[in-house]
Amino acid sequence: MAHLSEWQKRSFGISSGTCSPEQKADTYRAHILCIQYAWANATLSQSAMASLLGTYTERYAAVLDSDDPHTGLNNYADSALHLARSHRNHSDQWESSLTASSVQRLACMQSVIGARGGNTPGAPADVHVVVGDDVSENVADEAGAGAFLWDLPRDAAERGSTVVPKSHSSTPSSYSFSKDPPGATSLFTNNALPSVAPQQQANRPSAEGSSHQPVFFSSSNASKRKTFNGLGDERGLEQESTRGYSARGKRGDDCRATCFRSAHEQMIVSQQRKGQQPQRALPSAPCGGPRKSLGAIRSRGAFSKFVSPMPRQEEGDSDSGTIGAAQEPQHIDPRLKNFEPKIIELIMSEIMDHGPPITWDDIAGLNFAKATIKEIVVWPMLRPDIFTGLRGPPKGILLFGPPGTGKTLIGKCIACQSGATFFSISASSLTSKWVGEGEKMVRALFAIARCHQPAVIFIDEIDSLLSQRTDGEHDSSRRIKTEFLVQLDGAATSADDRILVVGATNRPQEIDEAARRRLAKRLYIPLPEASARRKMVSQLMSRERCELGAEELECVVASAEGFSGADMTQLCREAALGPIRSIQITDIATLSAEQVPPILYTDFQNAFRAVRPSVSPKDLQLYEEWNQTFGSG
Amino acid sequence: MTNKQEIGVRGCVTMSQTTLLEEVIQWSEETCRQELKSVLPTLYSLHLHSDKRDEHIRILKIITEMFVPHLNVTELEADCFSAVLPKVVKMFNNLLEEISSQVGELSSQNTELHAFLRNILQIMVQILEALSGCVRHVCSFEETPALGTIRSLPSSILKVLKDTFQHCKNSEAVYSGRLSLVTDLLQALFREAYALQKNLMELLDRIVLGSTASEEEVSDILTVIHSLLEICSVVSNLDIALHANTWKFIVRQSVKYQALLEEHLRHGDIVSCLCDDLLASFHTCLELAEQMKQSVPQENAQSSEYKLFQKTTKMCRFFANTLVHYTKEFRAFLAKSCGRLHHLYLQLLSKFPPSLWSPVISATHSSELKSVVLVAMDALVAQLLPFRPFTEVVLAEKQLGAKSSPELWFPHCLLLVNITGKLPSQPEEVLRLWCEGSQFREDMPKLSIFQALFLSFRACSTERAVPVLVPGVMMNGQAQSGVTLHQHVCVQLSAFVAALPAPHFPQLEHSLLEALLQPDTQTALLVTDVWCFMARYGTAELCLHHVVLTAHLIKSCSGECYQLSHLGILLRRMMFLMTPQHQVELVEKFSPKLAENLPVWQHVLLRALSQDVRKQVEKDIVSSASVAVTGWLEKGCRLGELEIVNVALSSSLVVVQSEGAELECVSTILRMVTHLWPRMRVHQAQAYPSVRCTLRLLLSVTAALVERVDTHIICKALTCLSSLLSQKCPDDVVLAALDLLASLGKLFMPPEIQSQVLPKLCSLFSVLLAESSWILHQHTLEAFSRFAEVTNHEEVISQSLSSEETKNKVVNFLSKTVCVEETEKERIERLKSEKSALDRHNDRLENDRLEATADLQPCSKRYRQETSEEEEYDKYLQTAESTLKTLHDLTEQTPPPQWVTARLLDLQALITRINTARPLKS
Repeated sequence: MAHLSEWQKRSFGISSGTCSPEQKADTYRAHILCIQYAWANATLSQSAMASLLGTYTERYAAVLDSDDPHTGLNNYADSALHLARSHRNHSDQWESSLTASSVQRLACMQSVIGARGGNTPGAPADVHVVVGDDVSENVADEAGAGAFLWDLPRDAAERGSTVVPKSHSSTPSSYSFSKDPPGATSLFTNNALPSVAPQQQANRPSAEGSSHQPVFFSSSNASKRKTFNGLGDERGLEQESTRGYSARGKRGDDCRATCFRSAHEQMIVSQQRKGQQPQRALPSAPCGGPRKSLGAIRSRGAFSKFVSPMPRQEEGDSDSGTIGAAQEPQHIDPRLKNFEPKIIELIMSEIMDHGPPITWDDIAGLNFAKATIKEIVVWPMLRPDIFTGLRGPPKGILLFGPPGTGKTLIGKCIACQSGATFFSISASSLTSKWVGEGEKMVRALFAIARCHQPAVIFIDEIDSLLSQRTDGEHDSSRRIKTEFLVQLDGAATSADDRILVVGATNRPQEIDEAARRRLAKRLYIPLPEASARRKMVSQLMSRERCELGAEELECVVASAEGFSGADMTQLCREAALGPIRSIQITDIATLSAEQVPPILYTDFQNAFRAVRPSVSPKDLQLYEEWNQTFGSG
Repeated sequence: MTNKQEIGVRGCVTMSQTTLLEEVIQWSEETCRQELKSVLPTLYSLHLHSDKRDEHIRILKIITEMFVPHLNVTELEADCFSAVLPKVVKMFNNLLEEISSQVGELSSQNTELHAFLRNILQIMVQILEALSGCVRHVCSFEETPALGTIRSLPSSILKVLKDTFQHCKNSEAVYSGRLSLVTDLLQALFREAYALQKNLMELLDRIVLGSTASEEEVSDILTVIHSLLEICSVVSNLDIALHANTWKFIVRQSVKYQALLEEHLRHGDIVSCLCDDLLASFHTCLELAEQMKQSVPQENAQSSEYKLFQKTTKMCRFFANTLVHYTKEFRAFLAKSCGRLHHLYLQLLSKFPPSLWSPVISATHSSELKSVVLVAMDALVAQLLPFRPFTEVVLAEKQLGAKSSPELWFPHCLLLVNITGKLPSQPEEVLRLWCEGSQFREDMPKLSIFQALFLSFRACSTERAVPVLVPGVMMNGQAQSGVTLHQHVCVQLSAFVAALPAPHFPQLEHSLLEALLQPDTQTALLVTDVWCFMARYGTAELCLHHVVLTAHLIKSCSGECYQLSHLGILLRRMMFLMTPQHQVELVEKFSPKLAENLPVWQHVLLRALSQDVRKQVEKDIVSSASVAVTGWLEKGCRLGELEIVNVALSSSLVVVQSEGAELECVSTILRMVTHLWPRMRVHQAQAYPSVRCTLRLLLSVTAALVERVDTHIICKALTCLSSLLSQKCPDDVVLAALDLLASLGKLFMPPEIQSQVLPKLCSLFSVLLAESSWILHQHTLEAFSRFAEVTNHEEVISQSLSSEETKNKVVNFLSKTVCVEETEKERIERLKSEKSALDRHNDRLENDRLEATADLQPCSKRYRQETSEEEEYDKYLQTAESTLKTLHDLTEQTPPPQWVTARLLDLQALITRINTARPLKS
């Protein structure tokens, strides 16, 4: 049956969890079309069609109307407003011409009102048939039900007449997780200045900066949308919750308290932080839920007072922190109680998203390092029950090697492949900004990581954080180091914590010896070998029009001896520019994209003149020596 | 020359005819010039009356070669052309007729005929040469002559040329197998004709007509252009260069004398001829590309096929650009041609991917053609955009008509989308042209662009099903990706809406509502998408207004109909976009405390409401639902009133399905369910749709509350289901049952009922898994796997998979293996055939609707009148009311001046008069 197989093909795509919101929306549309065809084809009855339609349009709407960039399409506002960007926005002057009475008179409505539904009994004689009047069936049931049949009316009538709204505090705690946290407001924010009076605007209809299409702010109100999305894909949500957030559940945490900010959300937060007055308190930090947008501080439409159905975050903010403080205890993990909200906020903001998934195949070469990491990191994370005791994973890994060889990429890959929460910390964010509080930050970092096990903490340029402790050192940086070492493997850490610290550095010799001990696995990430370089070139060139013969490729690979991965990229960039240089400057304007000549071997030869390896042999020797002394492979 | 003179001349030369000719031939140039005046009339007369072909051509040659060179500009027409040329044309015609009458006998054996035909052809060549001589002579004058002085020349030549080309074109048919015997002469004929036309066109190009040209001159040049147009259609397959040059000449001349000619030119013919030529060369290109696709790809770049392809592509470009140019110059006169142009656009677009009717050609060829044709077509549309007749064609109420081929709908939809993209930057009146439907009865009936767009989208069901991908919006420097038609239309329409000025908003609104209430579901979905965008983009008040409106409509719907589900979808989505205050307002307007409002709330997702409102609504729904159910139970459970119970149940379903409903509410609903279940009878469910509906709702509610319902209810439900399934079970009940069955996985059956429940569960699953309807089968698989994932009673799983076939199906489903695969081609054919079923179904739904409407309005004219009057009243009253209210507010704030009271009294008197007034005409 063709329909069945198509339907299944589509829905398997959705349940695999890797499809984009666009694909999801398309899938649901296709489902809906199928349902309609089934109805047209008399495979389905009208009421069955209606009920299926209800189900699938609901899921569809959840995708389409949601403004979360990962799960929703935001009504295609990005594209639509991009197209409309150079035109005036008249939406504030729109006035509906439809009234209830005028609509009823429309031809298309007439029949709806007039048509008799299929649910009324056919013959008038049936009207008095008593439903369920058949004593032969289930006599016992009948009697049983009859006994308390007459309880109901009184009971219900009472309820119906005296409905007392209950305060939130009295609701059972098991329901509290469904309570929506405050969300920020604006939908599509209109940036017309609220102070411009409508008449004024009408008087100046000419093109004018403020009256053009608003910049669209990916809006807000994540909470509202997320509750909406809840039905969207139960399967995916379930998996995620069971995998990542074991801490959730019976404590009745708001699920968003354990959700992470995406990089995009973080950008919005940090932008907003810049925009706000510095004294303004950050939004109730640890729940991390209410994502605020730039638009939230402005009014929604030009002159409308549109706010979302959820209470405004700003109102809470302006009423000082009392409301926020009152709400916080509900969301905070007890282990995080002792930390200042702003520190937690900061750390949460450093959390990296899972990002675009990276697979091991995306990393060329480095087979040894990959195999080691799989063995000691990924498998234990996936099957913690097997890897216990002596088989237990190490607490830390150090990736060292010359710059530009893919250390960061490996870090990301670990997070992706192990399904762990990925914290990417740059040493500077711990040290520079919060002098004197660095050690608190470190502690908070580990505390949060513990709440989100399994977790990978990736620290780039770890040498700057854990350089050798010396006498003349500043007090604060020394305290940070100490705290770090303690957290990594000390009294505060328990054996079954599933936290992995991955450090990356190109100056391994500068690392403190105590830190070196704790980063038990030290993997040398060398320059790419010939095969890896070949893979890089062919991968980079696959996107371009390139006419490179097999031997020529080998020549390029051979001449690139000593190049790092970053150098290879640079080389290919340079070569790709070759054909462009051959074009006359006057032709550039008229040239079509297909007319650009292909990249040839000579372009690579020229590129080799411009690009030199960034790692000197002397440096390499240093790494080799260090690897011989301390490396684990 | 009068008749008498003619006879006289004839009389004096008859005997010396031959001698004269022989004598003249001997003459020197000088003698010729001297004797010109005396001899020419005699020659003309001889020429006119010569019957023999040979003699005729001889005289003609003498005239053109010996005497014409000595004539000056002013004498040419009167003294020579007007006398000689008509006879030449006639002669030429006779020759052709002779050929066609004799040619049947021609064969290589029949030498006599062979020689005869060759002779004729030779004479034809000579005639053309003679004519060329004339043209050359005219060209040789230093000053280009006026058109009037040579007026017979072009028209005669063009007649001859047309016949010549026609003959060459038909030669294969005319000479059939014996073509080889005359090929050389035919080629000579063609060459000569070609040169002649070239010279003539050069000559005409040099002629300048002033703005004060006489009527005669205008009609001359018109004749030239129209004859060339005819020649064009003849030479289209003969010679590319000639064809192109002819067209160039036509357009050049038309544009050159635009002011003189524009009212007389046969614009329609010119445009349709251009369209035909463009289409023809385009189709040739496609055929070539298709052939190349089939041949070995490496050879393409240099092959002769590819060269031909490029050449034809060039012609395409030429025709397309010419068409654009012509349209630009003569737009105002093309009212009648708009239909043709529109059709052309659609025909061209339908041959490009992603149209499902496009031939399979390689991407490079396709993009080459695209850049040639589509760019020009886009310019064409841009030019026609402000042209009213074009809008009337594109937005015609009878969109493309039923007779038109299905492949044109998709291009039509793309065209409309393209236009919406262009409109925001157009001036106000153009926008109005497209956005307004027909305003007055006198106008051509037309739709608004919104209506047309939805209509065409609806017609593209095959493209949506495939789904066909079109290029999406490019932005943020990211590569362009393919998007479905739905997304494309949605984005473009949303963008158009975002730039829509207020005066056109009512049209949009109206079209949206109308399209929402048509039967095609995906179109309705598109409408809701756009509506939600509009709601988020517009003011909050507007959103509230629309929600209230939708709720009203839902309330006034009776029974189950597709319109109701579409309205329900809209309401459900719009609820999420309202402000909390407005939600409160809505709840007040449609209070769930009243049972009559429950039909509205059964469509709402309570998640959409803000916390406080939601709690309140939940309570109200539950209490009014339970009152309704209790009432029904008390009144003796009559079937006639079961509808109330169904509404109560379906709104309760909304409550139980929303997470975190109050415990109290849940237990009230639970009680309701407990009382209703014992009333379910299998035979009644089979007999009465409303009982079936109750059963379905009970199943769904039970599924949602499965962890709290009493076990005996579950037993009852399962018993009921098994006996229903043993007969023919309605599919809506099956779907609801699947919900319940899937949710039973969460339950651990107490040991005392295990023996009763589990076997039933197994048999239900195994019956349902064998379901033949694919859609039910799919949902059964989903429900079964949901059940299997969580259940504790694992023995049920294995026992349900009784037959090997079901087992395989389930295993395949769980391992995500899709079994049957059809080829892409088969699939598209199937989808094309499905379209007709879908269309039929939708049409039937719509026609039912129309019939129903017709019944309601026996006297439609009268009815309309009344409504418009009522509307008037309504409008003015509203104005008055609002003004009075403002006045009232004002008086409350500040004490009114004295005179106000007096004027208010006046008003009161007026109101009394209105109330007692009788209409003058009654």
